[in-house]
Amino acid sequence: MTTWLKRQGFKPNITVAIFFAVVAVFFYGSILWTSYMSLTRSTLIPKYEVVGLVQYVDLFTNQRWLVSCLNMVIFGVFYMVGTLAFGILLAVLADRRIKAESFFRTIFLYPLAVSLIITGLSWRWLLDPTSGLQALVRGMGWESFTFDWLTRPDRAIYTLVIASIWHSAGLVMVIVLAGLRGIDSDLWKAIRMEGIPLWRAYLQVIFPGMRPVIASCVVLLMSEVIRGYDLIIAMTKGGPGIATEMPAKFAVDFYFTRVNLGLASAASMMMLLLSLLLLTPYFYSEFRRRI
Amino acid sequence: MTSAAIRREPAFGPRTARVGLYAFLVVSAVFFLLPLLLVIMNSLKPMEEIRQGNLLALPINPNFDAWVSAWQSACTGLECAGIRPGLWNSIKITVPSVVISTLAGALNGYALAQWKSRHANMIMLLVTVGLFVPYQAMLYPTVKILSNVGLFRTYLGIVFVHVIYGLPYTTLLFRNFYVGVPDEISRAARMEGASFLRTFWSIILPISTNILVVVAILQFTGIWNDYLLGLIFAGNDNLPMTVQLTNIVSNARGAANPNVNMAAALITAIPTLVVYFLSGRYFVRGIAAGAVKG
Amino acid sequence: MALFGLLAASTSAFGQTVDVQQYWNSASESKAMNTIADAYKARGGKWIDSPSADFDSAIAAATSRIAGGEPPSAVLMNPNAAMRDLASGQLRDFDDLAAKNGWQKAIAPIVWDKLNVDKHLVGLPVGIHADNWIWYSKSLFQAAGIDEPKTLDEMFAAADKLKAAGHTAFAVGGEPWQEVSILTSMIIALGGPEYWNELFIKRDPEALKSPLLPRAFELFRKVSTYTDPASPGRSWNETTNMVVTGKAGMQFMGDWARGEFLAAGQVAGKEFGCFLAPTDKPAYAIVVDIFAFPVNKDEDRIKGQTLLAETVMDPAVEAKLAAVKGSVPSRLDVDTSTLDLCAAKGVKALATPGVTVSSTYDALPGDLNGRMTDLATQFWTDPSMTVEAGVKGLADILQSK
Repeated sequence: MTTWLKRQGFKPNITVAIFFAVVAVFFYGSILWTSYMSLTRSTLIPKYEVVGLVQYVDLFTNQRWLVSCLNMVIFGVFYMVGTLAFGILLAVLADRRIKAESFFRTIFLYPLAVSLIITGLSWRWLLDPTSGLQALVRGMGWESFTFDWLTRPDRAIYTLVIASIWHSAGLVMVIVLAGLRGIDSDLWKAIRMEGIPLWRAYLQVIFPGMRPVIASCVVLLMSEVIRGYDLIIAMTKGGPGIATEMPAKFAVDFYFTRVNLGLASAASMMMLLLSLLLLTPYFYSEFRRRI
Repeated sequence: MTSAAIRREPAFGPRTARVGLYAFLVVSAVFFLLPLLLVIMNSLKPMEEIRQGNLLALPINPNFDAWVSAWQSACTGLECAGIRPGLWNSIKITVPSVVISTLAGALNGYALAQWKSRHANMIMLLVTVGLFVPYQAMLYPTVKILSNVGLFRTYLGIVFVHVIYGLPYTTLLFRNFYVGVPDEISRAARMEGASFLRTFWSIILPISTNILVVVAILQFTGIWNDYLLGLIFAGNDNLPMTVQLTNIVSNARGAANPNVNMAAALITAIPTLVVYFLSGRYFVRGIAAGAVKG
Repeated sequence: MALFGLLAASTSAFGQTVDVQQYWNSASESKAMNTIADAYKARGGKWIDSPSADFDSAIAAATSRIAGGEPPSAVLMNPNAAMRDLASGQLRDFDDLAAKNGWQKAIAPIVWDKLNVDKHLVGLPVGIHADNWIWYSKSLFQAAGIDEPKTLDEMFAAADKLKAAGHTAFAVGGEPWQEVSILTSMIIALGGPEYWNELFIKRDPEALKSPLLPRAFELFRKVSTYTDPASPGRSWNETTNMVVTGKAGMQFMGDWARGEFLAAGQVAGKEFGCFLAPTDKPAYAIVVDIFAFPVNKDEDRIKGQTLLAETVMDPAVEAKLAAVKGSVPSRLDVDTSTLDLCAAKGVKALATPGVTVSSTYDALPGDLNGRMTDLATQFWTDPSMTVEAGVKGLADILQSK
C-alpha cells in the first residue's frame, strides 16, 4: 500500500478521492436513504414500499410543522441579525485602542466553549420569572418589573434568540476583528485625509471590503439555525405549547417517539432543501470568484 | 499583526464618547458573565437557600457539598455515582477524535486547495452541504453502517463517528486557509522531489500552527459537548459526561436539586473552559491568520 | 436430586444477564425500579442498567440499538403504537411461559388484549396506572372548608375557593403531555366509558359531532385560567410537589403522582386525597407500564429475559412495586388489601365491569396521540384559539388514515 502510494507520489486527487468516498458514503448515503424513506409509510421500523409524496402532503398540512418553520424564520432572522450586529459592534469597539482589550475579548468569547445544553439550562434558570432575573429586580423594590418572556407563548422564541446571541456573538467578534486588523493602513490614511466621519467610513468603505469575512459568518450562523436542537431541548422543550418548536426537533420527535420515520424523513429532506436554497447565493459568489 | 498596525487608527474622539464606549463594554461584559455567575453561585448554595430565595441572591453559606454530590453521588438511573465515571470516557473519546479529525481535515483541505480544477470546487460544494445535513437524518443510516462493520456501540465506533461527522467542517476550514498559502511553497518542495504527503507533513503542517490550534479547539469543544452521538454510539461502557449530566438533571428524586444540577453542569464545562482560557490567545491569533475567511 | 438442585443454582447464578433500557427517574419511580432489580438480582441474575433521561430518549436509544443489532434485552415502555410496531419481528413473545404459568387467567382481559399483538404476548405488565385522576391537598381543602368534589361544578367551585384563599387551585406542569391529559380527563368525565370508546377506540365520526366535545374544550380552557405563572415547562413531579407542600390545591395527573406523595412520607386520606375526574358515568382510563423484550441471540441474555419475566410476573414483586409506584398490580391475584385508600379506589374501578377503558396514550394508532397532544398544548397556550378550531382539529386528527 505505502509503496504504491509512493509510486503514485500520493497526488492530491487521490487524497481527495478517498476523502470524498467517505463523505459520499456517510453524508450522501444518508441523504439518499432519507429521501427514500420519505416516500414510504415507515413507522418505527423502515418499510420499503414506496407510496409517493403522501408524507410531504401530510407534512404541509401539519400545524406543528408550519409553526416550526415560521419559528425558524423568526429565530433565524433575529439571531443572525442580532449576532452579526452585536458581534461587529464589539469588534469595532475592541479595535478602537481600548484598555484591557484581551480581558474583554476573553469574556466575550468564552460562551463559545460552553455547550448549547449548558447555555440553555443557564438561561432557563436566569429567565425563570419566579426565581431568576424578574424575581431579583422585584426583590430590589421594583415590584412591577416584569420579564416573563420565557413563559409567554408569544415571546419565548426571543429568549432563545437572546441565549444564542450570547453563545455566538463572541465568535463573530473575533472573526470580524481579525478582518478589521487585516485592513491596509493606507486605507485608513485615505479616510482620514478625506475627513470622512467614522461611522460612514465603516458602513461605506470598511464593511463592504470585508464581504467575504461576513459571508462566512453568515454561513456558520445559518447552519446553527437549521440544525438548532440542543438549545431548545435544554431551554424550552419547544414550549410553551408549540411556541418554540423548530424543524430539527420536529424531525427528532417523529423519528422516534412519534413512530413516524416516513414523516420525519420528509421533514429532514425539506430542511436540507431549505439549506441548499439559502446557500445558493453563497455558492454562486464563491464560484464566480474562484473560476 | 504588529502593534504599530493596531495603533494606526484615530482614538475614539471626545472624552464623553470614550466613557460611553467603556460603559457599553462593561454592560456587555455583565451580559456575558451573568449566566456563568448564576450557575457558579447556585452550585455553592445549600438547598435551603435555593428554596427560600432567588437564584441570583449571593450564597450565605457557600460550600462545595453540591459539587461533591454531583461528582460522586448524584443518581443516573439506578446507579448513584455522580458524573465521575463519565470523565475518563469523555477524555478517551475526545482526544483521539480531535487529533484524527484535525489532521485528516488538514490533509484533505490541503489536497483540495492544491487540486486546481472545476471538480475540486464541485467537491467543496458537496462537502459544504454536509455541514447542513441534520445529524438526526444521519443517525439511522450510520447505525446500520457501523453495525455492519461491527463498530456499533464500541469505543472505536464512537471515535470513528466523531471523525466522520467532523470532517466536512475541518476540511472546509483548512481548505480556506490553504487557498491563501502561496503556491510557491508547495512547488519548491515538489521540485526537490518531495512527494505530496512528504510536502504536507514537513513543509505545510509546520506553517499551519495557528489554524491547527483554531480547528483543534473548535473540534474539542464540539466533541466534548456532544450528547446525541455519545448517547447512541458510545455504548454503556463509554458514555461521555454530557450523557451523565443530562441523566442527572432529569433525575429528580423528590424535589429537583438545582444546586447539584448546576454543579454537574459546571464540572462538565470545566475542561472546555480551561482549554479555551489557556489557548484563547492562540485561538484569536489563529482566526486572525485567516482561518475563517472567504 | 440435591446435586441437580445445586447444578441448577450454579447455572442460574451465572450467565443470566439483562440489559434494561429504562427511564424511571423520579423518587418513587427509581424506588420501583430498584424493587424489580433487587428481586431479579436475588434470583441470581446480573442487571445492566441503561438509564435514559426520559421516555423519549429511552425509545430513541432502544430503537437505534435494535436497528444496530445490539438490542437491550428489556425496554420499559407502554403497550402503544411503538410496541405494536416493534412486535413485527423485533420482540420476543412469551406465549410458552404464559401458557405454563397461566398468566392469561391472572390478568384482566382489557389489559391482556393490550399486551398481545397478533395473539402473541409481547409485553409483560409492570403495573396499571390510570390517567384521569385528580390529587388534592387535604390541609388546603380543610382550611377552605371544601369537601371532595362529586361533580365537575363542585370541582370548579372548590377551585374558586382555593383561588380566593390565595392558593394555586390547579397545579399544572406546562408540558404538552401533562396538558393533554387534562383535556382527555374532561372528555371522559363528560362522556363516560361508552362515549370514550366510540370516540377514541372506534373513532366513530358521529361521536365527533357530540356537543360534549366543545364543552370539554371549554372546561379545558377554564382549568388553564387557574394555573400559576411558573407552570410552563415544569416537570410532573415538581408539580406534584406543589400539592405535597401545600402550595397548590389540586393536580390532574395519573396515579404515578401517588408514588410521589408516598415518597414524601404522606398518607392517602390523611395528608392527600384523590378522586377520579368527577362524573355520573364512572370510567377508568388505564395506562399500563410494561417491559418489552427485544429479540436477543446470546444464551445468557435469553435466560436473563426469562428470569426477568418471571420476576416481573411474581405476585409478591407486583405487590411491593404497587406500594411504592402508585400503580395497581396488573395481576388480579395479588393481595391488594394492604394498599391505601387511593389504590383501593383504583382496584375497585378495575373490578367494576364496563368502567375500565384504554387511555388514548396506549390505544391510538401511529402518531395520532402525539398529534392530539400538539393540538391540546396549542389550544392550552393560545387563548385566541376557538373551541370550534379545537374540535375541528381533533376531528381531523381522529379521522386521518
